[in-house]
Amino acid sequence: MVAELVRGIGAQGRSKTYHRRGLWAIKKKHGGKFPQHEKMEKAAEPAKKAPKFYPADDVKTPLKRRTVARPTRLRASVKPGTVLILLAGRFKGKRVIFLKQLPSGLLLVTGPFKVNGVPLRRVNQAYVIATSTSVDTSSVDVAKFDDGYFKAEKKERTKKGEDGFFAEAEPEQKELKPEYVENQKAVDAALAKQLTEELSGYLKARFTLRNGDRPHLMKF
Amino acid sequence: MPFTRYVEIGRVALINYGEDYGKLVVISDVVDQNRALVDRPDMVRRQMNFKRLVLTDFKIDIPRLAKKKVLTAALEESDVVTKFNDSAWGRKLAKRAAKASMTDFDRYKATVAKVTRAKSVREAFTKLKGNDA
Repeated sequence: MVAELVRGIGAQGRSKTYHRRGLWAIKKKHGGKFPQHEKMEKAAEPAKKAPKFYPADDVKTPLKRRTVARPTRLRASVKPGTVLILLAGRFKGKRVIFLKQLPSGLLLVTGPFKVNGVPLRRVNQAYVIATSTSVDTSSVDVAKFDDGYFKAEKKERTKKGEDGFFAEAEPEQKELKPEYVENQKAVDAALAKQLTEELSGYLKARFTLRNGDRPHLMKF
Repeated sequence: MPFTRYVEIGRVALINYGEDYGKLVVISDVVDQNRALVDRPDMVRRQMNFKRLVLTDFKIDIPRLAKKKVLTAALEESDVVTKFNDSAWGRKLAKRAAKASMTDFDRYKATVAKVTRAKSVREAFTKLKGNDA
């Protein structure tokens, strides 16, 4: 970038900018002209008939959206296998292993479940502290996990009649699909080989701040 | 008790504030009652307020406004830096630094070690005390 005099006005004029950008060299190479693509020939459009009627109401045109959804950037301290400390939710304080980032930007983590009870789960990286400890996760197959995998099943709503209304609604025990259990077991088994006794003890322990701890000065 | 550490040429001091926190310097001259000219081999000699300095027990033999070469040689010969690091004060600082650089996993390991030690001490103690307790 060339320095600006004020906003929008560069310190270098048009001529100087031209030389700085080296456009003359490109021109020279192509015989005094900028190289251009030839315009594609458009297919001839069929002649349009003028409509007989015009719509009486204004037709709403959708707003132009210029924002592009960019993928969430993963924090540099988080790499596959990094041990993370969860900061929110029912597993807060638990130390878990990061497996991969999902397309939605959320992090796929697991306890492993066998070790500390945290299942395969998605977490936002804002609610996580990355530690410097890591586990080799190259042997874990995470290809089948995406955001759809974690979507809750749609509940079927039943209309309640009178007796249904008064009858005590029995809390239904949700059964986990066997495939979920199996996937968890497969991941746990692959991770178990990488965990030493000390490491699994570490993952089992919950993180907590104690008196005198200064988290902004602590190394993780 | 009389004083044992004086502000004098060649007195080794520890910086306790600012950018150079924790570094050892040598007083090469006294500017006034508030400031000294301090020096160390890897720094440009400069003034420093006495409030930022803590005097140590060590003193090296240098002339006033000693050149870098003389200072370096005197430090080398007296071995003051190593001596300071071996002193109780230096060891305390090293311990503090080591504790501050512990990672989360290190802290966990330290906790486990502490618990294990306490357990074995307790077991040994109960054994010595006998069963009647």
